[in-house]
Amino acid sequence: MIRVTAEGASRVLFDSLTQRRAERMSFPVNIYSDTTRYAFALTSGEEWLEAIFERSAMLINPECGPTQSFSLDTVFSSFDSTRISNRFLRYGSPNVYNLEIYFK
Amino acid sequence: MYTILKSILNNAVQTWRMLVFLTAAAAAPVGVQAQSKYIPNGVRVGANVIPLAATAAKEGVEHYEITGDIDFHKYLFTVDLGRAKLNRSGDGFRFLTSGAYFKAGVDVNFIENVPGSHVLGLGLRYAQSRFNAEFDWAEQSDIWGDRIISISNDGVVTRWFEGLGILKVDAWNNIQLGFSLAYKFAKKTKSTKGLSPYDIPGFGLSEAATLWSFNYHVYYYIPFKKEKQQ
Repeated sequence: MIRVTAEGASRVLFDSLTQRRAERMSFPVNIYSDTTRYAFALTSGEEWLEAIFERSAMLINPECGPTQSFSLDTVFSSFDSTRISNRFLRYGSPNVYNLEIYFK
Repeated sequence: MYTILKSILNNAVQTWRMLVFLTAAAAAPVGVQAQSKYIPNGVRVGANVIPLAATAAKEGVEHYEITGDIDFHKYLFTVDLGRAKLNRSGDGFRFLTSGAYFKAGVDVNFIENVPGSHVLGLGLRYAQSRFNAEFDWAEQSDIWGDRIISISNDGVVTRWFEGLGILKVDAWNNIQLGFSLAYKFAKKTKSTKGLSPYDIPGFGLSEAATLWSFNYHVYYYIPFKKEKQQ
């Protein structure tokens, strides 16, 4: 079982019955902050992960309005290890991994 | 048009004559003639009408630009100073850019021998804009809630160059009208961390690497010779 929540989020971000099904997870980053802190409830216990982003905003044009881009800068966690595989967060790209998490 | 072409031709012939004269004279004292040529005849001060028209016609635009030049023979040293406050707003957002800029450079007048103080030439400017950008917008999220995001970026600096084609003509007494077509290139922006600029005062849209712009100036020409005669 794996269940992911985040500080400031109004609902659970990820909920899976088995770790096998949780090989790939995707959950949103806090659009109002440079840092998102996630809490993982696993079968083996609880872990946490803090992701720090470089956030940049721009006005696409007056008709389309604003947009934000996020780039993964630093990750702290209680996991065995983590590896940033792709810093730039791209919405709607399921084949692009940003972070690899290694369990004990 | 015929007069201008004739003047350009005359000017070319005169330049050729001067070159021949200088070559023939070699080490001879040509200082008096050459020195007097580079004494300025007057200064020209004016305003760019295009930003004034935009200020009057467009909501959220305040843009003013003054300009001045001084002649040294066929060369005109030119400075433009501008200030702009540009407010882009739409559905749930406001992007405010405010700052000042300068452009400095040299124009070459191909018709300096034509009676009057007309200019037909080419110019090159170095331009630098320093501005602040503020971006506020309403964000909606079913996970993180609804909020207003405010991001600002102070002291953004952009520099670029402009190549110009210039025409300035006497209109009435010392009033002159000027037209120029500028090609803006080699833009470089610093300090954009966290917020990309949308407008660059004096340049235009930030997303453009190069831009063409048309300028229409009204000048007042202050001749130095007239003052000396009085």
